[in-house]
Amino acid sequence: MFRFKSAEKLNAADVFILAAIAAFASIVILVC
Amino acid sequence: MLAIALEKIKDFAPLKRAAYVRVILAGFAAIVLSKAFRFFEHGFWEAGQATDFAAFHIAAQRVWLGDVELAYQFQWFMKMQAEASAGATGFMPWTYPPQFALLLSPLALLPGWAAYLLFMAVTLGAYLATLREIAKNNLELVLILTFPAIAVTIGGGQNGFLTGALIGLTCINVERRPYLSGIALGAMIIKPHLAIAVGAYMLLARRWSVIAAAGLTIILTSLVCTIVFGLSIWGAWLEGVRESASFLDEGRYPLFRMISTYAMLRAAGGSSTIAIWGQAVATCFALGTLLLSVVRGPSSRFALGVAVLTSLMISPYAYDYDLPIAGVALALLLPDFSNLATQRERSLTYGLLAFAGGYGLLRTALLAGDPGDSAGRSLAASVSGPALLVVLVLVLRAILRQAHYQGLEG
Repeated sequence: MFRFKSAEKLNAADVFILAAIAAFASIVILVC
Repeated sequence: MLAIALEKIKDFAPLKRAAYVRVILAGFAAIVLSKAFRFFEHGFWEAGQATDFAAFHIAAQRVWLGDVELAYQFQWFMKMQAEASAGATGFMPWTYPPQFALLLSPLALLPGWAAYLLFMAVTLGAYLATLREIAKNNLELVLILTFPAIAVTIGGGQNGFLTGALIGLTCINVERRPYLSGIALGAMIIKPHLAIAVGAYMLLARRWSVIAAAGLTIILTSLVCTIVFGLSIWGAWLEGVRESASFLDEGRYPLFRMISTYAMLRAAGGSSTIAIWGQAVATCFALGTLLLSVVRGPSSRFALGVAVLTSLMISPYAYDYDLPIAGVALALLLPDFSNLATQRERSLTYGLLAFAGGYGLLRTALLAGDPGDSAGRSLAASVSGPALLVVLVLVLRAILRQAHYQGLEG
């Protein structure tokens, strides 16, 4: 889907932010 | 630092920025669709707990049945909930002005799950379009920090996107299309306590066209409601508001999900009188900061951002699902705030805004194991309000710093 050049690859901060978003979305789905 | 990581996103290549936005939108879509599917399968009531959207759907149905004014009486509204859910009820009083019931009425023509899907799609779409227009390069940053509040609003099927979009439209059009701006501000009659600070800004900035259009919108929509529902609807609404105020006084609302100083003090064990005085002090602080931002702030955009932020701090009755408005505030504040606030202040601001949006839900998750403990629910610490107050202090520091620079230049 997304092809990043080497300079555009996901770094640790990106992974952390996106994982936090996915985790919070999962909590909302389960709890609300 | 949080600020560096988040602010770097706007310098990423377009493809990577698009990936961020798509992941976030996919998260929203996943929550909306999963909720709609659950409503399709089980209805709005699950395990004795009702979704907030159930109240909207019931009120919409009552418009067609011709007895919406009974919804303002808590006992009657409980009966309506029991009818709609085969016996189950939740603590959901109906206190919205009649305009909101009229606006919702077409949703009664759809089954609950479809009405939810339509309401979320239209209001969330309008909110995101408004946010994109205001935030521009900072869209990813704003979306990430507002994600918890947006997710919570989707989860409850609440109206935070509608109010967020209306406040956003008010701000976008204030310079070039003041009458449209005023119509959007007037439409905030559906939740008037969240528009007080923006109204105060319009007065301070002498935006008479906006104020006139807002006033006319309120008068015209009120006339339509009077024609449709009859004059007695207004007495019923005021009685509903009075009843709701007594529930607040008794601490019957889930205080940990509220974002006001009042809720913080009540949840901390303070009496109703202490909490009201605390709220009054917070309101004075918020309006004082707004005044200072208009007089000494770096730009009218920044002052408008302060108005939007403080609109969440005026009323004791405000919830985490009202926080999409904070996304609009952040989008307005950011360009100047990035220059005026230190990296540490920005990190703290970003962290607190995300925390304020997510705290209520995380607390709900922790309390979910004991759903019968209503006392525990109402007494759990309410900390989103203080988080917003700290954000306002940091915004005030930025204004004072700007005033200091102006003094040096002068």
